[in-house]
Amino acid sequence: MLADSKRRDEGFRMLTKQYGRRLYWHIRRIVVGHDDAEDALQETFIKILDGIKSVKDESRLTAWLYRVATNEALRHLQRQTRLFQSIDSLNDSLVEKLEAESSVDADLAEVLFQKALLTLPAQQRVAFNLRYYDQLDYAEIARITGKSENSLRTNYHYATEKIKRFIKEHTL
Amino acid sequence: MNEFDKIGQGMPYAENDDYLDNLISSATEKAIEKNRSKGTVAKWTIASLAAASIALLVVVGVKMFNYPPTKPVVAHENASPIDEFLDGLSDDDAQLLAYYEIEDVPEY
Repeated sequence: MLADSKRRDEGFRMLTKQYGRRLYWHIRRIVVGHDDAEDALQETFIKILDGIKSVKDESRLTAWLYRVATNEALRHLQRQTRLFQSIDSLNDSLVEKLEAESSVDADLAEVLFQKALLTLPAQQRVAFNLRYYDQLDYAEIARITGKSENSLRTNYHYATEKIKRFIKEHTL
Repeated sequence: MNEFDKIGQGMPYAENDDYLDNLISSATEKAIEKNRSKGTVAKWTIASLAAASIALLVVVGVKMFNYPPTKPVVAHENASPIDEFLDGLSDDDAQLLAYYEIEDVPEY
């Protein structure tokens, strides 16, 4: 349906209905701020509609969608950095955004967990989120991030340990 | 993935599903609109470039092959005696003839 230009718009509507929330939350976990997530989601949708014809193997559609969303979210963060600054230098400002945008009745454990995630390097955080929140298998995460499955497994283990340590240190 | 069971997979933000569905729907329509306008702009650009290329080719072709001929073809064999006389005039004589007035004709 998406390959047929006449029916592409209808197919695209169905696609965003099915994946829209997942992609929004995936982007939001990376950029943290809602406005940033909205902008990155818009760019993601435009890129998806432009490039959907290039997806020949439907079994890889999910990975492709996540890859586009990940790239747009990281690009959005990159625009917020100064010249030669890495995305990871934004982590403090992302924590501020997290605190500002957390709802008043938010579960404190969830906020603390998000803060712990923001201590991870961006690429590691992306891989952790894909595994933990989106529950994708390592093969699929490897297709999205371009990393090997083994390194993803190792990274996930290190990320988990780091998060546990952070939570332990910040819990009374 | 069960290391953080107590925390679960919730997010500490206020945006609910209805709000997100509206946002997604709006972003979808904007993407479709942008894609359409991009297609229209691309078509106009291609059409303009094609028209400009054709015009350029015509101009270059005319210059290269001198078609239609810019110099009039003179059929000398059909020239009248008056034309032959005028062609044979020097510049000074031609100028004199051009400023010739009836008062200059001497009375006899």
